[in-house]
Amino acid sequence: MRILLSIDDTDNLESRGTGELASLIAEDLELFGWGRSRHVTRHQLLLHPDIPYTSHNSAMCFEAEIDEEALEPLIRHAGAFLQRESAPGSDPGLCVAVVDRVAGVEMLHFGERAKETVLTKEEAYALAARLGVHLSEHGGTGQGVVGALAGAGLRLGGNDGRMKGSLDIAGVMSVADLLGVPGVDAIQGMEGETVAPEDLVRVADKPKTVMVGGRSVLMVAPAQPEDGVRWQTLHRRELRRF
Amino acid sequence: MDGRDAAEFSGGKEDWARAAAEAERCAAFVPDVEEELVVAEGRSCYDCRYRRWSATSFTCHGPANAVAPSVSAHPAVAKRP
Repeated sequence: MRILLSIDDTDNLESRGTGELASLIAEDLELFGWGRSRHVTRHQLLLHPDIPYTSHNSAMCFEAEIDEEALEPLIRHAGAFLQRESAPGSDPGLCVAVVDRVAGVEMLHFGERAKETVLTKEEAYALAARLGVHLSEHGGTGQGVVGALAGAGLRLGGNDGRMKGSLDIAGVMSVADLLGVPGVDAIQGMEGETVAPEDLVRVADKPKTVMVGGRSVLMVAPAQPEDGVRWQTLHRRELRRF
Repeated sequence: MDGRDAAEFSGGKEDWARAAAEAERCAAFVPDVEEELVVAEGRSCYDCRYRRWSATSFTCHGPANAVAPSVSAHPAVAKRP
């Protein structure tokens, strides 16, 4: 079965990031033979004085294909992990959604609202209960359940977030070669332009992919024509809206 | 930490040059984790783990005894009303 596992509010100014904890849970999932995980994504939520985030209010989420009998052990493991590994003063939340069992529109709508308005734990728990989504808190005020559910909703929508980590490539490469790089599902222009397999792309050091249409997409923009190069990858600054 | 009493950077979220200059002379700069970097080249307050993003800019929450005086006193940083 396909699941989404999302966590939020696990860190403080001195600790490991929430993304690292998400990666460690994903690694454990594979280590224990429960299934296979895919990209960890970062989802930006609302920045507002009434929200007690540490410094950036982002949720981290990954998708996995797991055996059905692994669902409960995974939830128990992830909950205990967050309880143990989250930073002092944090308010960690965990969401695990079985993709085929949830009403995607409602989940996505919650995620979209969390980017625009202040939501409460009560709203999050009510929606999770209605949709049959696992939602739990593992320390502090547990306020992270709001972001955890929102992160899962946005990941389900497939058009939000940047991938954790960057690609270990640089130089000039063809679109066809780039599509063979692990972690790159597609390449497209920032303005929706399509690229041809033979097009050359000037790849800046350690480019980052973003989630578009449920895929890990390397965004490009037209390059100054030079040596047949048609495209260039975008700087992180230009990917902030994802 | 709620950030309500901290000084807010008056350059907003896209004053790349000033954020870099401030970070260069800050004794408290510590790079944030990879997924939270927005510049990822050299130093920038925008990449510091002590910056707390707000809707329009960020506030600095670096250790008071380590932050260079020029950061909190610099005209780029304005106290919220």
